[in-house]
Amino acid sequence: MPGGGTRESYMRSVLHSPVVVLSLVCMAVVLVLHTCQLDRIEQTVLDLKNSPSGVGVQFAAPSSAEDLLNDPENLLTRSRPLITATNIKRGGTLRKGIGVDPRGLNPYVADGADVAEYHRYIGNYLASRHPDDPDKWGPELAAKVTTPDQGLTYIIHLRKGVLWHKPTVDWASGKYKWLEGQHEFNSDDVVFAFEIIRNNQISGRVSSMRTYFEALKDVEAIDRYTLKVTFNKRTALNFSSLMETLPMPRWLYMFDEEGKPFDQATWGLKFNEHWYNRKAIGTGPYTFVGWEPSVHIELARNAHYFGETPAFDRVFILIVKDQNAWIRKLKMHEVDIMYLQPEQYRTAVMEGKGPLLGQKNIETKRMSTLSYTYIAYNQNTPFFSDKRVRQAMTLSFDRVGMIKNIFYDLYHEVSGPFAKEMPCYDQTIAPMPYDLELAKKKLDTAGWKDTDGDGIRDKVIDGKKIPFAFTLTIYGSSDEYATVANVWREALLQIGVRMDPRPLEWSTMLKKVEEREFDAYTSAWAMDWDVDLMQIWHSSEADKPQSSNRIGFKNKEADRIAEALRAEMDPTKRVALCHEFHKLAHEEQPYTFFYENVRPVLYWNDLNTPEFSKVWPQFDIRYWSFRGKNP
Amino acid sequence: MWAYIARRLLTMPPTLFFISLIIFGVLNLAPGRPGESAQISGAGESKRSSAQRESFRIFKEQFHLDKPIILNTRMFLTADDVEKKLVDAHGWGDVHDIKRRIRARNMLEDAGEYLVGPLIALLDHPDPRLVSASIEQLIEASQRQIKPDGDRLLNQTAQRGNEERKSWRCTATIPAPAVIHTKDVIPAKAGIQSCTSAVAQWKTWFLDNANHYTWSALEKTRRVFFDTRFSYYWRNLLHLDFGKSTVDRSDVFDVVLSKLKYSISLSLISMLLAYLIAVPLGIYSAVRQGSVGEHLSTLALFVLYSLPTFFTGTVLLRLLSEGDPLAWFPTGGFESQDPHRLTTLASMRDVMWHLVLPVATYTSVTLAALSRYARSGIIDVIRSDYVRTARAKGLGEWTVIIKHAGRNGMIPLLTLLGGLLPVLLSGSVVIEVVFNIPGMGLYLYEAINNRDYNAVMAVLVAASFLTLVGVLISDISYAIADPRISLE
Repeated sequence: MPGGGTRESYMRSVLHSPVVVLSLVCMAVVLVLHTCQLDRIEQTVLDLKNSPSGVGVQFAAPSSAEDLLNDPENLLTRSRPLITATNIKRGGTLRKGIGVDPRGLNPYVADGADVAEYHRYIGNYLASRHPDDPDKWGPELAAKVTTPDQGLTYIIHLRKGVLWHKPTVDWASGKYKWLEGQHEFNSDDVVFAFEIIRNNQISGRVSSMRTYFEALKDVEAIDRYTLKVTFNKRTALNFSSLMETLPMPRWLYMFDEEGKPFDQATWGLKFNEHWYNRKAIGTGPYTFVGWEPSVHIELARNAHYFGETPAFDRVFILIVKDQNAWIRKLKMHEVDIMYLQPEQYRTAVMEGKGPLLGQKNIETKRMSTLSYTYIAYNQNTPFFSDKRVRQAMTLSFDRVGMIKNIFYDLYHEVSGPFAKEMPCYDQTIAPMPYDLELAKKKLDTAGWKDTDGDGIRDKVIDGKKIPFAFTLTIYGSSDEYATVANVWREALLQIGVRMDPRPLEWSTMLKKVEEREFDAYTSAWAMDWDVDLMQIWHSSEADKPQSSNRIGFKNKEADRIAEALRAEMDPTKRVALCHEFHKLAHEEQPYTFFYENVRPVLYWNDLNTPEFSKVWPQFDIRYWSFRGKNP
Repeated sequence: MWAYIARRLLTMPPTLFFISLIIFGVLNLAPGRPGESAQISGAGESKRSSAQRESFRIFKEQFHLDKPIILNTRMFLTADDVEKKLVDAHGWGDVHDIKRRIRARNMLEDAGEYLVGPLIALLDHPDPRLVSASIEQLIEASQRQIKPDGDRLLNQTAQRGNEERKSWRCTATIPAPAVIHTKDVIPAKAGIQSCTSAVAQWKTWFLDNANHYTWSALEKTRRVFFDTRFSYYWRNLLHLDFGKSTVDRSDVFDVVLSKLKYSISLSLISMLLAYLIAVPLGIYSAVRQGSVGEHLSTLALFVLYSLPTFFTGTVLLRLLSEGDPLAWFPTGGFESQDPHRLTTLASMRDVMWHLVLPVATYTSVTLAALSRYARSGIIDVIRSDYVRTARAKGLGEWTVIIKHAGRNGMIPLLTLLGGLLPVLLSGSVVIEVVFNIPGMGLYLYEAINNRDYNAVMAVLVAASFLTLVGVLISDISYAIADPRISLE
């Protein structure tokens, strides 16, 4: 096409003329310069925006709780400071790694230890357990608590002048004008928390809290700073449940995003999906800055906090989902502290030569969790209704060997349904030994003998010969459990019992276990510091669908102890009852109590050796600090 | 052409409907239910209690999880059916058959208002335990919705008089189920008398409200299809409402949108890069067929293609970011910790810096396949007559290859382009996990693990929609690229 050719050559000649080339180059240079300039301006603006505002609003000084602590009637007592390290450097950013996203940040809706942990930083409970002695309580939002009738009524005096954090919203949009202004914490916020707990429309974490408040009768605000809480009966859980209540601001959670209040009849449903549920608010040492799902949660120090000043200015909870990335981030100091899984612990700590992860500044510490792993026996099967058989099972289960070889000595062996560092655990009861000969004898006396010479014991029950062959339901995604099952299987074969592991995916496993379609299964229970035995061990729960007494354990003595323990308030007597139960559980062996879960934590030693909380959730950055220069 | 497009567009909604029906069915039939996996926390499970039951029921109602999945036959329940379920739920047949008890109880709980008719009929039963159990069940069933439409839980009419009805109970305590293990043992007649007044109250109440609980044949048919989980899901979907997550109650659509940023930037850049490298590479190996260079590139590509992404990713991280030997790139993530403190330019640089390794990994896989397609495409056309004619005209070799052979040789790649649309959205789970990028793939994977039906449905329905659109686009682009193809 000649026309096209001419146009092309014309274009080419224009483009090739020096004037055009020069002006194009000039334009490019100007563009680059302009961009750089804009970038610098933007940086200045950002710096201004992010610099801490020096002139703030004058806050009323929060009332001190010190004087009230001298009152002998006060159930709250003075506790030691949270940070005990002497050599500390204040300020800086702590980066803590975690493996999962929280399921929302509303403490009453979102389940999980992580959410409870964040609310320790963002919020305040009414009172908190002493770090060294969890049976004692120190003041937080409550300054004084008394009980005129020894445990039926509690009078709570709140701290005055405490302000709620400013909500984390886009103030510039003008949409949140209705939230502006200061909001002082007061008794209504506590009343609102109890309205949440009692509203059946609200589901999630709160539904398990309701168990602790079964005896709750009434919560009444006497005035702006005083509350009266009454219970129907005295139980050991009343006081601790009450103190561990997290107040919630009604002025925020009872309103939709436009500031319109919810309907009284259905507010619970709206609360479940409240617009602020992906953010958090409180009165605590840190304010919530933001949550980028699967990336991080950011907190900043609350300069106006009434309590002990925490060490870090900013905190990033980094959400790292791939376990290999945990190690990588630790190694490159992209996180300061993180816990490991046993498998990682083996490669990183047990097998590694030289310093941890090849970095001489990484150290490790073990964190106890109040939980134990067990193997449970369905008492409604022909095998496990007999306690001698259950004892034989435990005797054939090489706990020490397995903890050493499969879990790298990470865990503590336990002999009963408590964690070792709890007063409830009777240290004098030694776990049953690994003794196949004794196990054989127990099975013989229980009537399980190999009559047909096939190597498997059998017994005639109701005229039918039943071979001793059972299945062990295990969580399928864990290699360690598969190994445990196989080791045990070998040992059982030696005493003439056949066991087949049945690995299942978690929700299928839960379903099977709840439907009681198992001979034996393995799982773990998380415990509260204040022990209550009713739900797992009382016979009234044995035949209830979906109860926690899944094995159908029925024992009159256990019932008596469980009932007595629930009503007992005196710590010494409680410990005695626990020990009594521990002995009974050791004799009955409803479970083979396996080990207490311990988490290995790795940290960079520019942190002072981190202290962990004795109670759930164990991670508590309020105890931690960076190391100062001069020791 | 236009007729073709119109036809294709018309078949899209029914196709999408059936795809979603299949996904929905499979998802709901898979073991495990939403809200169940939420029970484990930290190192162990926490205990359960009956107090959790009621809020779980409300939770189910809120997400329509109490409804049957595809077809609803509950209005055909008879008094006999309900009697059997009541016996099962209380364990009067076999107290230890917990599985049967749980199933029966769930069924009674879920059936809600459909139980009222049969339960009223059971009030005349001779066994006082059944009468008492029926009354207890009525108290619950009668507070449930009356109309299947509208906001079920805001249904005030259903709530009215609720408190009063709670007191219409048998006065004597009927022996607890655990005491009597078989149904055959019928307690004394005294039990029945204690229920007489409650039975009368309930019957009067039913006379006044019977119209809510009896349905015409037409209404029954309607409910068979429309009072179901699937129907509620689609009704919302028509308003572009993908529902809320059962895990954290966030709006699924918003979350999906927020994930797009990560997935699209990762896959778009990778795809672009893959095409930019693959096409010239393919052409090169087609033209220089049999040369040493071609053999080497083929070998290299096959090696890349055979390496799984998690491996390539881990090796790259090990070599280039763990300081072993180099620490040039971050160990993962999409941007630095403080993106809001960076200027636009700096944050672009920051994202690019984070994306180098994931993009390299992603590209390495797609690259090999694409360049093979490009190569075979060119080989196919390079021997055809019109290419020979072009050469005969005296055009330069590269003009022939790029202008004449290229246009037709790239048609296979166009088809692939259509298939890429859903990939842009769904991302890659493995790369997102290895590099800790919070994209769509990771979201879908976690949603499946948590039985978060709405989230899974949202991603899959959106992906199916994009697949359909993608196929259409690739068909159209065929016709544009190759005039010989006519779409009629």
